[in-house]
Amino acid sequence: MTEQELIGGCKNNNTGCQKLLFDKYSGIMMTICIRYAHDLSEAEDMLQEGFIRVYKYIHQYRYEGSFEGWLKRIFVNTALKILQKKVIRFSEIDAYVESNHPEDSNPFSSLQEHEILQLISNLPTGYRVVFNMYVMEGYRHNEIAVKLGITDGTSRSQLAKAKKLLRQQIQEQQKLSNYE
Amino acid sequence: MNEEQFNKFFRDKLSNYPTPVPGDMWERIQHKNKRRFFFWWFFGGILLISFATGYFVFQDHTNKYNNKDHVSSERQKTGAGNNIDSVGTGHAEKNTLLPQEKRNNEITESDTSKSSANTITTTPVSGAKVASVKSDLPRNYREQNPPYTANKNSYITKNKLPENQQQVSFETKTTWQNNTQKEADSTTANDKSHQNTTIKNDGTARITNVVPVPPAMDSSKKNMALKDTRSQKGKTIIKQKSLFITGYFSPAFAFNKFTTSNTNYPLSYLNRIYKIRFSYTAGVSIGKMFGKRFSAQTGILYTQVNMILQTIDSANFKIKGKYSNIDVPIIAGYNIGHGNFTTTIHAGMIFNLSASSHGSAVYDGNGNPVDIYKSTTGISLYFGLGFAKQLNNAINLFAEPYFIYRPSYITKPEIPFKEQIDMSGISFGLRYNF
Repeated sequence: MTEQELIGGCKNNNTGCQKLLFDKYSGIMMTICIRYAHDLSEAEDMLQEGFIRVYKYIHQYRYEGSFEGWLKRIFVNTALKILQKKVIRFSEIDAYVESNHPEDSNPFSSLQEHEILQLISNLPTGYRVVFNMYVMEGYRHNEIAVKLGITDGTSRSQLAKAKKLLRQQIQEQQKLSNYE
Repeated sequence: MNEEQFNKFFRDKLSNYPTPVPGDMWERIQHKNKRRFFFWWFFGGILLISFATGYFVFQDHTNKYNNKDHVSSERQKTGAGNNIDSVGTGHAEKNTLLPQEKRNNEITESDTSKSSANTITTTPVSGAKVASVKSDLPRNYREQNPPYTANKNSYITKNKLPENQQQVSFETKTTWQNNTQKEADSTTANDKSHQNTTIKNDGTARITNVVPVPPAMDSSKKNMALKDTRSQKGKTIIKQKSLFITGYFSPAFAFNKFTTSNTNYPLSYLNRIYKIRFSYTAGVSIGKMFGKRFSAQTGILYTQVNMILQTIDSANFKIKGKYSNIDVPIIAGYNIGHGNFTTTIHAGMIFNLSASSHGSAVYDGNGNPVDIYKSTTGISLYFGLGFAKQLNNAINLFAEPYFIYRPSYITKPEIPFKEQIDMSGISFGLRYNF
């Protein structure tokens, strides 16, 4: 079955096509949800809500551009919507990133995908959201500012702090693995 | 690693990395989709029933109200001697309940064999139409045949009439009776010999008693009689019964919402195992009208939320649970209708007397089920929009879509999650005024 047929079937509320669509994309979409969610339970809620929205709005897809890209946008927006209900705090634990650690020459090389996901999940919500939107989704700071109702400056500082914290965590992890 | 390399590293690693999805995720999505579907159908149904009830009852009321105006205008046009007793008898009102497109404007003249009255049967579309129909009648005919009107002893019989007579349809009666016969007739107003028969299109016949006006009464006296009649009837209408008792039952839809301050608590698991099924409310209340518009009522309200507690994992247990409340509602009402159809906006508070539950899917460390609910749940808020139709002088039938909002949590403080339950439904009931 081609992607076009699959989408057509979903537009006709064909349960079999909906299931095929779910099987094909649920893994990648789950990664997006985990990146935005605080924990696995929240990620599952996002995934569930995201697919419900996909089936609800798939008739609006006009076969323009990548379907996977369209799906990702739906899931990112769903995740943001769920997070915004919980009032994202954008000025959390500044002191946490104040200390500087010496950088390892190549601490990233040994990192596995699930470890990277875990590192992102450990970020405070504000950092995590801005990092995902800027680095992973490719939004610009002014777009992030509009979407989240914050200033450009806040977006930039949240991103900088997120990156700093990630580097710091990666280095600490590297040190631990070296000791072991 | 510079900034761009750093960004690229994350993008490359995660952009197409699939994470395993819980095995039951597809079932959860389907289940939630069905719940939403049911939810919208449920509310669509409630709205449809409400609007349909409101429309038909309001239509009924409007027709009756318009016809009262028509009778009044007809009286003014046809002179003092006409239609003296028609005010408030209700016959003219009933006739205009017929669909407008089905009404005919025929003027049929029938000489009923049982009485010697001449009956002119016509169907007015409006007061103006009637006036024009009446003006088409020969003037000498009207002078020789002063009108008489139906009294409230009219009734409908289901006797079938011959085929050719069934052609006569949809009547509003204006009964004309010869003066020369009325003296004899007036002494036996309730006798069947004074009945005029008109026929509806379904073959049923309406038999109307004819009450002649005493010949000695001149037009001014007739006017006075009219005033008196109207005055007395007016008093009867104005005199309101201020107390009322209501009894009602409602199928209801309950919405439960789980929250927790513990971010690690698996709320999605709770959402999966607590599935709300058909719920209902029932109650009785006593109330009082304050003037024509305002009312207040209180009583007892019983609410039952039925649940199925079922895990989707390997444990696969299924328990029928229920959560019930006994409450005292205190509801204020504002009436925006009049006549025999009323619409009332209701709002108020519901004080919980007791709450109880059967069945639990939460277990303590020893594997014993834990009752997670409080024994009282505080105050809830009630909003409703009631549509009532007067069946007779004392009894009203009503339907009321409503929403009950419970701001407080119904779970005990020691339970690691919090649950709220709101309800919505449509009450059907009777109200007895006394």
